[in-house]
Amino acid sequence: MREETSDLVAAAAAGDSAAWDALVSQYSGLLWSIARGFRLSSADAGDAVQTTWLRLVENLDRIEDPARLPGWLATTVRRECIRLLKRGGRERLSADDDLPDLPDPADPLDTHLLTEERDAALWLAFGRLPERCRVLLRALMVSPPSSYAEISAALGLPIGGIGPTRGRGLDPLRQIAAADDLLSDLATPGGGEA
Amino acid sequence: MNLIQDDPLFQRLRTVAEQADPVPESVLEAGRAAFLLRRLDAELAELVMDSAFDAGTVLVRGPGDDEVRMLSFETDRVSVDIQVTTTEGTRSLLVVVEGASGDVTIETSAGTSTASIDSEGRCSVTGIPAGTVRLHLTADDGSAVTTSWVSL
Repeated sequence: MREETSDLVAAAAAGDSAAWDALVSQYSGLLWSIARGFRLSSADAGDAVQTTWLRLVENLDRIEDPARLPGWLATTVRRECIRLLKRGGRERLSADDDLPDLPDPADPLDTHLLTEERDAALWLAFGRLPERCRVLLRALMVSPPSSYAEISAALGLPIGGIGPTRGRGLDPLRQIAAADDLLSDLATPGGGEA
Repeated sequence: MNLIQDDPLFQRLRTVAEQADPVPESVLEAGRAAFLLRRLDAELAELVMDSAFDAGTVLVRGPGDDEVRMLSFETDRVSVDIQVTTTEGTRSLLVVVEGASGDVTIETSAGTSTASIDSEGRCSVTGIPAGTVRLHLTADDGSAVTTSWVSL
């Protein structure tokens, strides 16, 4: 994967738009997950991702170590998200402890696409986690998975903090799952948590 | 260490996230389109200051309660300072250029507009929609400078 990413960066820098499209396909999931982990609206998350791709276009000739591209992209989108949040004036979706009763079509907590009741319950519980846990768990969901070193660099979280933060995110979900008839079969760690 | 991928709760959560919040096709399209905006003919002026983001910068208030955002871009020889005022959803830009004279083109997702730099190194543009923006300077000596993209 790493060699392939390096090849794609080199080819895109040489003007190969198919290589560029492949990079966009491969890493948009990571960027989107991080932006939505910050609970940006769909429009703001889209802006943050777009700005990140534009920055990569600007810097295609100067990427010194293409193998570290995922970390560079993640760091860039994270900065853009923080920039959007700090600036204020933009719509920020509900605070951690202030969930809306009515679903917003642009709300990352929206459950209308989830047909199964238990999935909706899980998604709402996920939305109530602290921002740091949400961002980390969404970054961990990306396929192909990023290394802990990349995630650490991208999220500004020490490598040693990833396990505990992950636990702080998953443990409450596991308790909710255990207490819920619909979710209880998911509550047993399958080799994840030690 | 990293066996979270085997955890059934995490697996379900990932599936749910993919269903509830996939990457919109419009975001993928915009990402692919970014490549078409590559400028190989201009020197890149990087963002060196953004009052909306950088700690320690003083918040400036414009007329009324409009907040004024200051942005600075630099190359080795050219600096571009932009003062952004937001009024009723659109942005007005006052641009101050040092080190070059000529025309400034403001590029946005909605299109471009061009203004001439006056004798004091200034130009202004109004009616810029929210979104990503960059400035392209075509100097009288034929050289060109493009700023980094910023989200306004």
